[in-house]
Amino acid sequence: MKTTSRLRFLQLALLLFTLLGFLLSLKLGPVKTSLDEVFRAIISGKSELTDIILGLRLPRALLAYLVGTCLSLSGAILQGYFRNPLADPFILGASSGASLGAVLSLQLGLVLNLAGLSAQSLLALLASLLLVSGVYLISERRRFQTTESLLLTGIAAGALASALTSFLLFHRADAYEQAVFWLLGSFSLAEWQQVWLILGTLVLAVLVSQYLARDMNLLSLGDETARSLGCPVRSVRRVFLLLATLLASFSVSVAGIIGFVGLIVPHGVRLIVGPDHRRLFLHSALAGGLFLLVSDLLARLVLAPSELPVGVVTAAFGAPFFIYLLNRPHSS
Amino acid sequence: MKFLSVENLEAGYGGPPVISGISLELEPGEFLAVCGPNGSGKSTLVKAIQKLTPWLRGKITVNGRNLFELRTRQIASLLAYVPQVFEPIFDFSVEETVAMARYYRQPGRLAGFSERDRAAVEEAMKLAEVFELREKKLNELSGGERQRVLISRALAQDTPVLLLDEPSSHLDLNFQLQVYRLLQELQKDRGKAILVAEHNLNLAAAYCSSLVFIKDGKIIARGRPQELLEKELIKKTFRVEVEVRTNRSTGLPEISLVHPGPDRGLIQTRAATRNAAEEER
Repeated sequence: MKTTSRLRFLQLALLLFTLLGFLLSLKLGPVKTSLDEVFRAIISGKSELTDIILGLRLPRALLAYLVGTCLSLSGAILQGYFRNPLADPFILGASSGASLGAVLSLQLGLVLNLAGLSAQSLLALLASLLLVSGVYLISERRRFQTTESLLLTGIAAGALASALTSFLLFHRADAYEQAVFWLLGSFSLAEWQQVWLILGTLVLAVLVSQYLARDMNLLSLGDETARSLGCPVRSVRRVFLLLATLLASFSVSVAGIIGFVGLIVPHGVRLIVGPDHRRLFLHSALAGGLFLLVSDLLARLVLAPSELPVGVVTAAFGAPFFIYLLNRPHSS
Repeated sequence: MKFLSVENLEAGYGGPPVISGISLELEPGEFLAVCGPNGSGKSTLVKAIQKLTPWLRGKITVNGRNLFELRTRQIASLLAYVPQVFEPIFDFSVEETVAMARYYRQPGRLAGFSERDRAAVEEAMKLAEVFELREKKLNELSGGERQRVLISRALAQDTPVLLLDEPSSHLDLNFQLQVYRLLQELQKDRGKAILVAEHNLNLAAAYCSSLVFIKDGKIIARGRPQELLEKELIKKTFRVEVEVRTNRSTGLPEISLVHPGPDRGLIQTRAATRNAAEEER
């Protein structure tokens, strides 16, 4: 199939499955709900189950979808940034920083709520942003920053943060269960305020990344070539790194650590739409949203009435799909 | 003032400068080859002229404009650079790759390709004979085809000056000739100013209008091929014995290596080279 027809096919599939995913997310749950009630709740808000459908299920589905788009877009950006299809949103330590922040807040027993973010989320967000900024500043101190030095500094800083997290957990075993629940990722505590927060981050990131998508095509050829073709490499790199970090950190802060989305979705989408970032960014974001929406649905349903951590689902369903994509005949 | 003028250029990668005290000039319609042994700084020089080295000092002007005062996109409209190696990570097609040369020739980031852009891309692909390959992915191409794609991209950039880093290094004999004939055509018919880093002296002598010998980061000789292809100068630059004769088809000088006979083993040859180097110091 030619790229354009594959693109149309993908767009159609994304649209249909996303609609279906949202519908099922609103319909399915511990309280039995008919489709009729779902539509009534959405259209008129006059259903006995409105509170459940619009107050619980809708923000949860939306948050899962939006976090999926954020993680996937962040992964697509970083894969181009590092010229490496194996990069993911957490490669610079955003997740390790967030874990450390979250566990620290559990240890300190902080309680607050700011713009829909609990103390845990807030500290996770701050620690994640701080860690990645630190990584960037340290690697920039070298006279000529290279992506390799940035990557290695990120891996080292992530390892350090993980060690501190383990130490804290080891030190205070009573916070262990709560911490693990948070670390594995979940949307069970979704709130409307979180939805708006993530939506704001996403809209900003989509607009800016789309505006700079051509520059990412150039960056993926290497810095020297990009510069020789007119790209102001340094400033463009800074903007992309900032976007990817904001997306990853905000996602982690509201949903915990959900692996695999930011790695496989952009990779899979690239196989379908090609490497041009003008198409890749947007379609990766949309596909990531769908992927996490469905994953969260499964996380709720597979062991109902109890819930699986969504990170388990993304890996359990994502990994085999990824292996298939990589090894299917004619794949690049 | 000459069209491209480089004065007292010093460049490197953070450590001691790789090239220093480099001054040279280039006019439209001139085809200059920078030749020298491995590690002499040829590639660094070519990159430095487009401000691609991490560390740079000196003065570069193109058409009277100081490169240090221009933005990256303005530089890209004056100079095009063809790198020596290119390992594509993502699978862009030939046409997409060549079209990237036009990104920064457009009025805005979101502007679509104009007719002029499309025409430039098509013409560049035809000139470098990659038009037939336009829908192929870069990973499907041979080294020689990829090299021509890169040259095609530089042509689509539509700049008065072309800088090429060892354009023949991945090519077989036939493609080497093709590339150099294409460059010569661009020089003569379109008045491009071309500068290549090249280690193949015979190729450079046959096609370039002038040569520069560079050694240990400094220019040691400059002149027409007839002046520079000279036994002692080549021995001094490359530490190798050559014979110089006239190529029958071009009437230009060319060199052939003098191979040490069986009585002089490799170790002796190395010792002799070392002695020569010490003497020179």
